[in-house]
Amino acid sequence: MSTVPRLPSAVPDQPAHFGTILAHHPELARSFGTTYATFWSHGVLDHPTKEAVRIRNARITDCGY
Amino acid sequence: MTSWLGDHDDEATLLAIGTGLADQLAQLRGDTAQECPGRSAALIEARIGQMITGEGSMAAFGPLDAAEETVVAVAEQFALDVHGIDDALMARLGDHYTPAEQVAIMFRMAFADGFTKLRRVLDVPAAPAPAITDTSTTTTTTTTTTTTTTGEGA
Repeated sequence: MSTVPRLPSAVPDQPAHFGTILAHHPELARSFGTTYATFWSHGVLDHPTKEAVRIRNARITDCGY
Repeated sequence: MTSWLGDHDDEATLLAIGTGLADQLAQLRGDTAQECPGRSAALIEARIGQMITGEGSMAAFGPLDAAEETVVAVAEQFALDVHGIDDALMARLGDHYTPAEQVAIMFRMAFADGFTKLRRVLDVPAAPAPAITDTSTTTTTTTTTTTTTTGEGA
């Protein structure tokens, strides 16, 4: 899987990465950031379990981020 | 209906259990659907739902234009094996959609894929599907016109 972003950065003078690509849609980026923060800071699962799932998922999907 | 996790009417009631994410996810999914151009959100939802559940149909959409065919091709590969989405396929998408539109489209695919699989595994139906506005023609499509069981409700 490509680890080189296939979309350009939306932020001038900043390289393309997940954040600067999401910036093409500031509202979506904000909503996503809020949801992601809630996922990590709230809920019934402990943090190590969430992190284990994240790592395993990233490995299977070959996430380069 | 009884799911693996107990008695739940649909995924909305399931998500409301202890995650604190239900409202935020609903907002994010709704925003994503609205930001997708034309019929792309409905096409993504229908095709990915069809591939994962084996139910539903694309017939209601009628003929697809070249841009829509590309969205469906990317959605199919997204559901089958995301590693197969290569530079050429993304270049095709880029021929038809702006980077901002591509971000919305890919978000929509992620939600459709993830939540359809979640419902499948936990054996719960979709929440009642809201209308998805076709932003290119201002007509409105609901998920129930394309699939009655897999609508990726926002």
